Amino acid sequence: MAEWLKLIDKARSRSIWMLMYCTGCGAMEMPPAMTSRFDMERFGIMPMATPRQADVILVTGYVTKKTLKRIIYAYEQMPAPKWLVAHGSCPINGGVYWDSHATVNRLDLFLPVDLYVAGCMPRAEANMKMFTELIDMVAKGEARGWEEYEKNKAYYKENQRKLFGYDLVFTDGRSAL
Amino acid sequence: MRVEEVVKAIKDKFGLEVENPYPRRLRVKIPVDGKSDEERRQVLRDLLQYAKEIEFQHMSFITCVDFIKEGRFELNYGLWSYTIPTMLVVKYDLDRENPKHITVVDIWKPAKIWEQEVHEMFGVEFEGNPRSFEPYVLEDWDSIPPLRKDFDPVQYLKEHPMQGAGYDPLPYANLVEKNLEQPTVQETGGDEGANS
Amino acid sequence: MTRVPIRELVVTYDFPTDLHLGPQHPGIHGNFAYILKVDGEIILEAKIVPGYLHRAFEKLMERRTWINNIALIPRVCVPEPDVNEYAYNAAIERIAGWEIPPRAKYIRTVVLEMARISSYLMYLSSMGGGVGVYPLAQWSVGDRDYILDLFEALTGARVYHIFMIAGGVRRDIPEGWLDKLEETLKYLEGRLKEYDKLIMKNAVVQRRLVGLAPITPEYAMEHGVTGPNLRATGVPYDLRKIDPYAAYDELDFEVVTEKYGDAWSRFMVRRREIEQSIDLLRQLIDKLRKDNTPHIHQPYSGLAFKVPPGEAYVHIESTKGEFGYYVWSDGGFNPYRVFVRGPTTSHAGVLMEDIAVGQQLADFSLIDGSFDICPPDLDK
Repeated sequence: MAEWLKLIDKARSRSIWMLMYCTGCGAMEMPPAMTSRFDMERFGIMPMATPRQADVILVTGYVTKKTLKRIIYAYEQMPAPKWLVAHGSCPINGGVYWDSHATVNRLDLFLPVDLYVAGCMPRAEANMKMFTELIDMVAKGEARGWEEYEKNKAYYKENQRKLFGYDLVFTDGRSAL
Repeated sequence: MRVEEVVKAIKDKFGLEVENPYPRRLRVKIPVDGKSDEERRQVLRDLLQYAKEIEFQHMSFITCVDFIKEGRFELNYGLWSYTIPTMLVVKYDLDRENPKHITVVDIWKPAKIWEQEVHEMFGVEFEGNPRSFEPYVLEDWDSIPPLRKDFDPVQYLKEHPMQGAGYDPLPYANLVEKNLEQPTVQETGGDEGANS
Repeated sequence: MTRVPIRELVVTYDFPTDLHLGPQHPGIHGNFAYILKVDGEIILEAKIVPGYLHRAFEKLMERRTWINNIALIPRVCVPEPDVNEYAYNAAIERIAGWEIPPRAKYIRTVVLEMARISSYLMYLSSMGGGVGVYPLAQWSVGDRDYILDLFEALTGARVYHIFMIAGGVRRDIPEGWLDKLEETLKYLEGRLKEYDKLIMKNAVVQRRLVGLAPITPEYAMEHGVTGPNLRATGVPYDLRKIDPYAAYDELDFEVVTEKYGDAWSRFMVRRREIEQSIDLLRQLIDKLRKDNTPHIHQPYSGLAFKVPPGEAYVHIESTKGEFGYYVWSDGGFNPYRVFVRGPTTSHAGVLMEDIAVGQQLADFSLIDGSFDICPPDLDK
């Protein structure tokens, strides 16, 4: 059974679909990564329209409090296995906007991050290296962010509650899962 | 119409002095000198209406500056003319403790959104523009309007530690506040700082 | 080509519903949202929901020194960062009363025109994606990379350059860079002919763009429209001619206008202005080869930089419209107040909410793209 799972992981790594959501300034280097110079489609990575059909969500740059709520909704709507990649120095420790009252300085208090990309903004070559790293990690089974989120759900939800001041629920009373 | 004619026309009709500090820039201030708020607001609205008749086609911006030491807000209405060509900035003072004002959205349409921004960032109330009381870019905001000079973002982040975590603001904030005693440009011999 | 009138095509149900065209949507460029009230296919009301990219630049700029701010402000307009550096530095020079040397003016204008070409190519790409002509989307972004390579050779970075400084530019042009620029311009001219073959006789492009959301000059000026959107309605208002800045009063060019004010005119104005920029760059290369003045006004230390008290407003013609910076100084190490006038504030807040009424829902994303709504300079 374990050999079948390894084979499935290898197959998953060659068909990662990213969610089309440009959340910040790092999104300017995504079109060069999608077109013929740094072609990412040869790795099997394609942009996809809705969270229910995507595998990876790229948080390209800084995260404001208003956007973080929508990223959490989108992340919870994606079916497992799912990954999250943070670009730039802003999700790590705040970056150039460290003293802004509208941005959130550390992203991994609220969502599990699998991979960080350095730079401000990260170059297109750095984005391609990020894709190859992600493919390697998925093929070996090392990227398990979503399982961490499930195991430590109370911790993440408590942090989100402290940040927003209320629980993130859908209007019919269910939690945002 | 030329720039000099605009200066003369405003002086004749309203009795206000118009400055011309740079080419194609005019500034006029509506002074307080003993008039009531209603009279000054009427002068402002008449001036903005008159500008529309003398070839000012475009409203560029409405913004506000917080002069906390003098206790006033200064509203700036920026109008631009493509045909003269010149810019006209109309300045209007408001009391900082009670910033109530009237809208100009029936004269200039773009005021709808500029007044919304000034309301959220400074707290100025524009009576007559219901859109301006709605939130603009901040969501669930619970503190004073953020662009006022007495709002300290580092203090706000210390009170909301989940948002500010990750970068300890204390050491760097002290450095900025200290404003290192440095000689001004004339006193230095000319460091090659810009070229290195 | 005429459009089939709407009433013959669509059905309405007399059941208006709210539709959230939210921040995560493949049809909206950037992190921006609309709330539409639709009845079947017709849009009845539209409202913008800004603020997903709000970083409070105006507050951050008051907390950093004058030269430190130049490293922060390119992020206000992400596709075209050099307009921010130019407007901020020009406002400082205006208050301080500095005259900058001609070589610095020419280098600044070269950087601005290259940023204009790269931003227009990004616009062509997003319109190609919106209409459905995907070769145009892929080719434009691929060709834009040649301009980014030139930027990297000149300034050291692909997107955020931080190259202009108060008094001039940070360093002079390296050897052989002007020849590389000439080669790239010749290559781009050849590519523009290929783009024309793709869009000019293409029935899909013509059918979708001709006659979409037309506006008249009076309607445009009443709603605060500036830039190429205004020139597409027929009036020749270009801030490079009317309120000249940098080296534009020494260059020779004609203002590009189109007649009908619909989405096709807006597209063609931008496509023709790429050719105009290539021509301006050639004139500037000639001027730069003959000029020998220094590239900065006077050397100084960035930490000991103070500006005398005063205020100044500088606005320039960016690819999105009128981009302005109003700077107040009180004589200290930090600016007292900086106000950023973004072109998208009037376009999205005032124009889109009025023009979308009565349009079809299927066309909305293309209307939003044809006016070049770019949210970072609205949220600041």
